[in-house]
Amino acid sequence: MQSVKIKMITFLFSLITICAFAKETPARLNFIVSTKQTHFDQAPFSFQIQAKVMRMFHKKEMFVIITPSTKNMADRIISILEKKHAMIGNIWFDSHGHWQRRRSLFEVGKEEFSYLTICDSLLTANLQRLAPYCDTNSNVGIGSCYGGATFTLPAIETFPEARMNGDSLMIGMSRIFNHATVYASESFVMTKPFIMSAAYALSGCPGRKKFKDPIYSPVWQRIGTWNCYSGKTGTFLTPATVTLYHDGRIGFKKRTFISFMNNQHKLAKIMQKLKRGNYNIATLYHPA
Amino acid sequence: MKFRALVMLWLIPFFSSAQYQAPSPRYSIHLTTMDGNTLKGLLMEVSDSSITIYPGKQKDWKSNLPPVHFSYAQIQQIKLKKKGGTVKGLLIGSLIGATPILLKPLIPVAIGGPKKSGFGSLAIFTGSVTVGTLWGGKAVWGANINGELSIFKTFKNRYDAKCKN
Repeated sequence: MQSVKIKMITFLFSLITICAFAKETPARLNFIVSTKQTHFDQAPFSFQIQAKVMRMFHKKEMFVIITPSTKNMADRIISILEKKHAMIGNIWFDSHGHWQRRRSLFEVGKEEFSYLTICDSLLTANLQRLAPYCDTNSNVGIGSCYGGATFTLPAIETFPEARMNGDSLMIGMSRIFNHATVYASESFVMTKPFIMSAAYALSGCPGRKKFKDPIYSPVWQRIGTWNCYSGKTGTFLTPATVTLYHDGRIGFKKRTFISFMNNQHKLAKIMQKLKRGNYNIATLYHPA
Repeated sequence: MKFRALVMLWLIPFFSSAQYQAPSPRYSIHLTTMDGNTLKGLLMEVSDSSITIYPGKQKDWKSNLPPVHFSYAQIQQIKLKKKGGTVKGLLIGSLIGATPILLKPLIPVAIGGPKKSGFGSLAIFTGSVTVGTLWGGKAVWGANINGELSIFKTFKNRYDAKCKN
């Protein structure tokens, strides 16, 4: 009889401990941030539709923020986090990369974040508002092409060679998001179907003619390569190809995209067919 | 007082002309540099030894992008295409194609006039429109400069002559 009592007391004690512990560690929510489009653009449109569809099945832990500005984004994310008493688990910034600007960047609305602007406290004020909701266990994904590129672009016409400085952008992002882990790509970030199915949908070879120019050869050489900066240890890692899970979590595959034979063959074919003149250098003169 | 007001009214168009946007250039250009890079834009000006290009499309003309200058020594090849060539070709093609349809009622039956179905006319019309559009769209001229001043000058003379017309 006494042993049963002891067992009951132990059970109750452990239950109270678990409850107290659960109350102390807030839930982790995942956010997908994408810019509100003013005109039709296939890539963000496809991404937003897919994210919204997946949100229907993961309403508790995943939120899709389609926003015109960082202020609006921060307001909405903070209100969700406050309401749910939660922290940011994963946050993915879906954006275009702009090759003609010759630097790694991502955009939220019309605001650009690159190594030039990431240290500007005024420009990043709205991102910094999210810092209290992040810690070293949070993951930040930069979903723009060449968002984490570290290579140097060769000189072209009157433009001198330039380093992309994606690593500086990643370090800056990690500092803003309270030493979170930041993922960004060295190469193209695709928007294939089933993007949030833990597949290789974020990696691939774009088909447009303008990409088949030797000017893009540093990018082609790094297809499916991602960089990871750990704010906790302050070190860079090169994980295998990054992917998105159904609930918006950022993860990575066991094998890299390029380790598959068919991808290697495809890449070799493209590399052979790179032809100077496919890229219109006029865009370099107005990198907007 | 009235005179002053009239003068002011007369001057309004002159002041407003300061905000007037120049019409977009007549030619779109496809320039290949000596390194083999391609630049597509609008040809703004051809001087004795260089050309000035607007690095955008017709729809970007209002954006007032800064123009780009290329010296003859940097240019390998130039291809020019007149603005609205495709539309012009389409119109000419459709006019030529429509001629037999329009004239058919006037042709007497004895010569083979309007008795049968219009499939032949439709085929001629479609063919003419297609050929006209393609011809208008492909109406490109230019020069292989290869960084040589003499060839560039020949190109400039030709361009000036075309602009006068």
